[in-house]
Amino acid sequence: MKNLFLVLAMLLFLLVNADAFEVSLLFNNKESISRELKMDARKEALAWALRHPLGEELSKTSILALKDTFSALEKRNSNCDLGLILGLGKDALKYGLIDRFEEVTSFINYLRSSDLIDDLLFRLMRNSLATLNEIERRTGHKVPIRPINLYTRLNGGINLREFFDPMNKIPDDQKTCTIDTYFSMTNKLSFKNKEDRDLELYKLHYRGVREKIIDLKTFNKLEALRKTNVLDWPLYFKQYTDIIHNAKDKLTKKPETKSETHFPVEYVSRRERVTQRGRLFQNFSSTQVMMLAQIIQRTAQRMDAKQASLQWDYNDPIGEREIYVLSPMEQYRVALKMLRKDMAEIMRSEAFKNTSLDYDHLIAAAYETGIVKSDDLEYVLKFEDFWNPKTPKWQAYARFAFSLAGTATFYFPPPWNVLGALGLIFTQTKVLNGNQRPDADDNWNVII
Amino acid sequence: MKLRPISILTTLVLSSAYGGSEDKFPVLVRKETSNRTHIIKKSLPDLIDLESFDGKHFKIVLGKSNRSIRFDESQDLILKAATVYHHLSESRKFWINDMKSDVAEALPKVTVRLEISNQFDELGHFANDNRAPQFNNALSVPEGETPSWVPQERKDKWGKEIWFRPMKKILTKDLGTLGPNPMTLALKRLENPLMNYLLGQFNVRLMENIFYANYVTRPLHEDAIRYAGTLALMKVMIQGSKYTDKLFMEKYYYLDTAMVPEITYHEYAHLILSDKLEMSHSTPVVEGMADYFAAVQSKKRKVYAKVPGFSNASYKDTREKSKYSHWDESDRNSSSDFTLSVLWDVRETLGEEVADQVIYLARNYLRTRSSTISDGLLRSILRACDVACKSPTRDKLKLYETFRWKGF
Repeated sequence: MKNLFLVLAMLLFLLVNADAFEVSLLFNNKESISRELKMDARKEALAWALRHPLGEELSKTSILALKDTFSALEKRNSNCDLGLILGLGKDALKYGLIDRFEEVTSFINYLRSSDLIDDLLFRLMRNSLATLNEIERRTGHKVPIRPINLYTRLNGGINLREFFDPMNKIPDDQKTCTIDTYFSMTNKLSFKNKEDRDLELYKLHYRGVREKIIDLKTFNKLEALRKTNVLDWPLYFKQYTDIIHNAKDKLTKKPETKSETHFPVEYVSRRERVTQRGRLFQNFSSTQVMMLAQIIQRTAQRMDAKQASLQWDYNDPIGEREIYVLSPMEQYRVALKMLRKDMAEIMRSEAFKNTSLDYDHLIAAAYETGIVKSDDLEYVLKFEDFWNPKTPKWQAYARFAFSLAGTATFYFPPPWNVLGALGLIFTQTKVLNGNQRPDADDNWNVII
Repeated sequence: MKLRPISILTTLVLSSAYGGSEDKFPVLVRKETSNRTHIIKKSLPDLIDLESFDGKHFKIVLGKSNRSIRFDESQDLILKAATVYHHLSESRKFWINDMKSDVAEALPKVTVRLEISNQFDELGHFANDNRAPQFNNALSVPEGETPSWVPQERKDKWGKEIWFRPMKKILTKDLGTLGPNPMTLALKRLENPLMNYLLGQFNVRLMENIFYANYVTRPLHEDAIRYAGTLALMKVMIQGSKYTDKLFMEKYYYLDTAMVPEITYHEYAHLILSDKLEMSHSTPVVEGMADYFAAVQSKKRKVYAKVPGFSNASYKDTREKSKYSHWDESDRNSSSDFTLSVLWDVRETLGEEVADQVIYLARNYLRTRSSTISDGLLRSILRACDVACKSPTRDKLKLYETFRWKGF
């Protein structure tokens, strides 16, 4: 009887926890430094944490709040960006982490500074919070003055009632999301570029409120969305959760707890503050990330294979065949060449629809899925050097300098021209040619 | 003639060092900071006989004799026997303490033969005395016994042995070709850059002649002749340098293997590695591995360096920069330092402790069918890394890069 109760209790526990979100997925174990949290904000967050009444319990309680928020979102199957920050604020209030919603900024700064979340989620939360604050700030604003050239050829003919219809249903940011609704609205628009799109939207918002299709509150909300560039965020919650749930550390049994490499936080675009990891989340779905990571996994398996061979089945009646066993270095080189081939194949595949891939995408994906660890990353990155060797800058400058100096020696008076030329040749042989990597083609003992 | 001063010196040191003292013997060792040698007094561990070089782990004998060398033998022989005994004891200590080798721990007593010129005969232990006597080298001998059909009076049974051949001065030219001398090599390295430079210069002159003909005072053909002359001179110098071999080598070659400490380490390493590395394995691989452990014990960049009066053989460089060539696999090149340099690169890549273990472990994975440097050796090192490296994935990637730089 006692055992039956125990089994029932365990089943109940499993049932209750089946919906619970695995909060450790959110912890930052991929970014060695934060690109988003500035020094001042970090100091402020630390000071906030130090004077917090929860003291040492702050971290544990924050995790509980995060767990509740994400479990609720998961249960509702909701991926609303604004809903995320609203829910987190509510749970933070519930656990006594903050006294009022305005303190959420300090709270998310604390979450990032203590690595309970990563840069991508932090930026997403900060963007959502900025939009919510802008919506709040605009409450009660009056209708602005009429924009110039209100009716344009591109969007003059738009049916405003149909255009604003989704917004009139007022998204609750639980089941229906404000930002998603705004996206679906703007999809109907025609525009030349980002700036043009924003101007067109402003004109349409104005016409909507003037022609009483939307009320002033909705107008202000739409303007807040436009002003906070919600259409141009590098990453949205839906994309983030997709990769976190379905790809992050999925190909390793022992995920790292801390990142030691700078590669994931290297800037791909400094102007837009997009990192290698950010670009991966931005451009690919979890399925694509797994496919990219598997290319690296397969390459590692090929390198590690006990043996690899080439087989020729001769075109003769006896059926004679020849098997050539590759040496370890041939196996290594073949594995790298096949990696490049795999990249070409996956680019042409339906799943990637001719997307241009580069090697960094693969590495970022392999790192995200946990196949490649921080320690190994530096060496895995060198694979590309095999088929795409880069001339270091110093070598390019040195070549240029040597070519100039070579011409200059021609004009020196004897015997300096001869001495100069000899000195130059010596230096060039030592500096430029001395460090040349051997070519496998020079090795008669290998075929590749 | 070179032998005379060192012989006098040796005699002086010996007479002062071994003046009746039974517990300390004159031993030739290298200085800690250089490859220079000196003779110092050392006590020999684990001697079980009070009158001869018969120890718990080693017995030093002369030639085919089975009696250990007595302390009242000639001073030169005492020096040689004591030096070998001392370095073998050091080597044993290294294998047991540093390498944690069970093989070394369990190795039965080894007979060490000095001044033996007979060839080794797998069926009879010693080949006949008149069969091409051997000099200037050393070898390790696997245990064995004569077959049952051998007559009773010639029956023999022996354990693991190390043989040191007598030293003999031979003319260097009799050793055959030793490859291009350093001057030829240096000039050959300069040939291509010089050619490129001259072509570049000629192009500049050509362009000047075409576009700024009025400003050029010297006709183009004069420069062309100068450039051609320079190239021809270079070719002549390269050809000429081939006749300067004498400048770079000594007239005679001699090697008293018992008096070169690293050769003793090398031969002992063969005994330890022979539990897995049989004679059927590639000679460059087997020799390279023994060289590696000799180099580790010597703690010197250049191993087997000259020992005045005893050896003028050239050293092996652990940091030899040459790239892999298929000729490195041939038995003819088994005495080159290429395999040693590959293994030393592994040491620099993985760190001393890990690399020593990886290379020792690698012998388990060497297979006769693929016992080559480029295949068997590399494959077994990579496999051993799976077991002994701290982070196998990372370290193997580092190894691939190392091997790539070595030209594999």
